[in-house]
Amino acid sequence: MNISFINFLTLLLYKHKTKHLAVFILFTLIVALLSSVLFISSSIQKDINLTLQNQADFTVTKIRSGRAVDTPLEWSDEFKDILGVTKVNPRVYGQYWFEPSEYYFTIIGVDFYDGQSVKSLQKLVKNINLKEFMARDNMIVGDGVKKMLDSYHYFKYYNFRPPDRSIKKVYIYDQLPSTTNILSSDAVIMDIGLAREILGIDEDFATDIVLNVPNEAERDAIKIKLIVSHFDMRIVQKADIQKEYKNLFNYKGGVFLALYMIVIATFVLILYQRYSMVSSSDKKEIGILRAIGWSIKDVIRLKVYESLVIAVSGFILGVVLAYVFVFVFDAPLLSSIFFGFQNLSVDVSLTPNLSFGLLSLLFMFFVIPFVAAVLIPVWKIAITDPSEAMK
Amino acid sequence: MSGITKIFFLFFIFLFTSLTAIAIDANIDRSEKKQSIKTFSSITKLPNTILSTSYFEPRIREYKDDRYKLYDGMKEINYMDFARK
Repeated sequence: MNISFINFLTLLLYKHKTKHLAVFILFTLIVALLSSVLFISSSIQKDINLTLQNQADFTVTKIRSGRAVDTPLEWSDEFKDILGVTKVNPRVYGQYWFEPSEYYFTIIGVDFYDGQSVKSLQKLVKNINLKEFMARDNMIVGDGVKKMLDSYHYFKYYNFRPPDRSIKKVYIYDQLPSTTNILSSDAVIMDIGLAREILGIDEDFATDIVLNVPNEAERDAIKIKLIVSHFDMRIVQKADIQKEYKNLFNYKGGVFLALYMIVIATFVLILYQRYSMVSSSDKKEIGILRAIGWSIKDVIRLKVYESLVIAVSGFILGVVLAYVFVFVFDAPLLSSIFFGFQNLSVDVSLTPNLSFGLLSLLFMFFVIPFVAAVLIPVWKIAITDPSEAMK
Repeated sequence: MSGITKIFFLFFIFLFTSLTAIAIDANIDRSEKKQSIKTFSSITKLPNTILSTSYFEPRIREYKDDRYKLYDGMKEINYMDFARK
């Protein structure tokens, strides 16, 4: 491709600027919207995969009439006796209804006698003094909870109302770092005993029990042992959790993808129609090119480059805009589709995740149909006789 | 090279620079954030992301029920097991 060809190409683009500009803007917007959705979905999935690495291999919950109920702690002693099972831990967590705003928090009880949890907490909350923390009823709150409590002037403490109608005054010790907002925004961390009291879970019970089976080959056999030990239990494997979250966000991203398939199909049809209804000046233009010796191949090449310039520039600009929207401005409005908007507001900073596969997928979705939609009508005109075209 | 061609070249240089900039930004080391997410999940032992759902919807999702895995004949069809096969 020589410089005079490029000059001619840019002059042609400039001559038909109003026609091309409308297509370029529309194309950029569509690419930007779909890219935003896919960026959000892939970023959340990446963060979820990180959290799943630390999860226990099995989660066991007691079931009654198809509903999860508190799990007896004696089960954890039984599980400890199964050969191959390690790290059996009861978990205490649940939702607490915050009456003033009619939202709920997620209370998570942490066993502060468990060395691993304490170490992790000290890593996360730098200034924590465990003695001071345990000296009275304290809690560490997530970003969203802190904002909500502040708006109701609970700057230092909050009076929880356990099911026994008492009042439990719990002091705000510290706030969780905003980098963990994707998990912790609505979380309240407190001692496991205090969490039991506020959530109304008896001493001999927990919300569920988690356990590890380090040897992968033993997992199936141990699962069967667990199943036969009690018939009123639900067992969830780590792989199931992985699948569940993948499905959840793929589903939400997929709905958008399906909608955009319709949008892109409409867009391609409009393009096709637009290029099919060629004006007499366009016809003359092609006729002149053919008359001065351009072959059909040359005319098509010119038109392909013309549409490629629009499609590639629109694609790059759309992707860049989407990246800035999602990872710089944290995708206002769009992120609510993934996280929901019916409880505390979600203020999450999404981790950039730009993969070559994702970009190629977007490229295939947009640029190829775009060029194809332009090529067919142009070819139809190019094959007409030059003298006919110039009439 | 005509003036218009130069403008087009400058526009494309701008686009490719922006693309390179976002590619660099996406590859910046964010291990501190990743580590804090991992640490938090190791404290709570919960994998759930914040889902701002209504009170009656599960904030902490219930997963596939494996109770009937022992008895193939009693397999539930609500998880579309039949469709996967």
